[in-house]
Formats: sequence, structure tokens, C-alpha cells
Amino acid sequence: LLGIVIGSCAAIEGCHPVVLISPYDATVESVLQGYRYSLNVLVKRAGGAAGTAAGTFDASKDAYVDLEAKIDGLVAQAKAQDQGVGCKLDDKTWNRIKAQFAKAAGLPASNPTTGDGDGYGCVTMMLSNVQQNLATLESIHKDPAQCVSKVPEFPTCLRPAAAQDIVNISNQTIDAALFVEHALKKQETN
Amino acid sequence: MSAVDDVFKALMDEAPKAFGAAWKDAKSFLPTELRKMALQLVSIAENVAKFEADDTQGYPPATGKALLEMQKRATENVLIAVTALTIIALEDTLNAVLKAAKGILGTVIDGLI
Repeated sequence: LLGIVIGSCAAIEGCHPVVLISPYDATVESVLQGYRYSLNVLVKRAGGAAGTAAGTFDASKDAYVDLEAKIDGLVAQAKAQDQGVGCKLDDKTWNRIKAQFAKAAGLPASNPTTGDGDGYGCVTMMLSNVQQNLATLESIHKDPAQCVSKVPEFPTCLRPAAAQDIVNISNQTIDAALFVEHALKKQETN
Repeated sequence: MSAVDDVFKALMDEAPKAFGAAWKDAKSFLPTELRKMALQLVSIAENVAKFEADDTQGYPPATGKALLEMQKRATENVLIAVTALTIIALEDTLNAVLKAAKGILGTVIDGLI
């Protein structure tokens, strides 16, 4: 601790605040809240309209393009603001946490992080997961084999049960990122 | 005990071991999220089983697999959020120490460099 304090003071004349995480960004919070709302509307509408023209992937294409643009923009912005501080949890600890939870939950194991990791900050990592979940959602929606439609002219859909689970999972993914933004906002105002 | 409770218990049993010293920061946020996760995992298993019994219900295994991938990322985000909270708390502590020690350390550092 003293080393960090002295380092922070020795680098430049006088002491400068220690930065371990990217600061609060009001844009991330507001865009992510809008993204959450739009995604919920899209998935609930598609799930409710499964088996009709309105429930097909094609009917939601524009909404997906809009969501992609929002999350791609947020990820790019977060990467640009990362300040090179990373999400500082050493690889050994992080891999241990991921492996233990995956085992307990019966989830597929992810590849261990090696070396210095990707160096991205916590917010970037979380937004990246939101981005990847959108890609998975689209792959479900556009795949006729996952719709098993009884209406040949509308081969793609989000089955109602899948739509409900997608909303729950997506919200948990997004809310974790919003939770951190709220904590950063609180830190900034204190 | 229901399947949700079983999964939740398994996750909660692992949490203090996995987080070690950071568990005290994680425990205010994590249990609620772990319960959501347990509910979700059980829902996926049930919906795949429903589909296999009647293909107008639930969803196919391919969707179950895709949803597990999504849940894995949601879980990762929850764990990153806990990590971030720990980092924020550490940053606050370090900066409070810096602020308190600024005058004294300034003199010490001037003497060292």
C-alpha cells in the first residue's frame, strides 16, 4: 500500500489520485438503459408474435441493426477510455473463480485467461459480453431449426419460452454493467 | 428442496472459496444474482425437457445450449461487477490514504528524490 502511495506521489510532484478503474461515464449509463429497453421490447414482441410474420427474424432486422450500432459504439467508446488500467484481478484468481462457478453451475468451461489478459477494463469486458449475447440472440432468432415452425412461410421465430429466458439473461448481463456504472457515479459524487 | 435451491446452494457453497478475501465485498450483491442464475439454469433444463416431450412446448436443445452460453456471459458479468466493486473500494481507500498523507509524504519524497 505504501509503495503505491509513494509511487503515486513520486511520479509527478505532489500526490495524484490512484486510478484503478475507468471513471464514471454518463453516456454508458444512458445508452445502456436505452439499449436494455429496446432489447426487451424487441424480444417480448418477437416472442409474442412467434408463428406470424411479425415474429420472424426479418421483421426485427432493423431493430437488431439499431441495437448492434448502440452496443458496438459503447464498446468502442469504453475501449478508448480504458486508460490501460485493465480490470485488475490477477489471472490466477480470475480463472479460479470462473472455473469453480462453472463447475458448480454445470456451465460450459471458458478458456482460461493467460499472460496479461486483454488488458481491457471492467466496463469494457462487461459491455463486450452484452455485445456477444446480442449476437447469440440473433443466431437463435434467424435459425429455422431453433424455431421448429408449424407455419412454413414463417420459418424463423423466437419461441415464447426462449424469449422469456432471453429477457431474463440479457437483463442480468446488462444490469451488472449498470450496477458498476451506478457505483462509479456514487464514487464520483462523494 | 427444489432444483433451484439445490443449484443456488451449490453456487453459494463455492462463492466464499472462490472469492477468498474479496467475499466480504461480494456478499451484499452476489446472493441475489446467484439465485437468478439458479432459476435460469433450471428453466433452461426444464424447457429443453418440455420440447423433447412435445415440440410445441419449451425449446430445442440447440437453443438451450445457446442460452447456456448467454448465461455464462451473464455470470461472468456478475463476477466482473463484484471485482469492479472491490477495485472501487480499494481505489477509494488508497485515495483517502493519499489525501490524508499528502503533506507528510510530500516532504519525505522531496528528501528522497
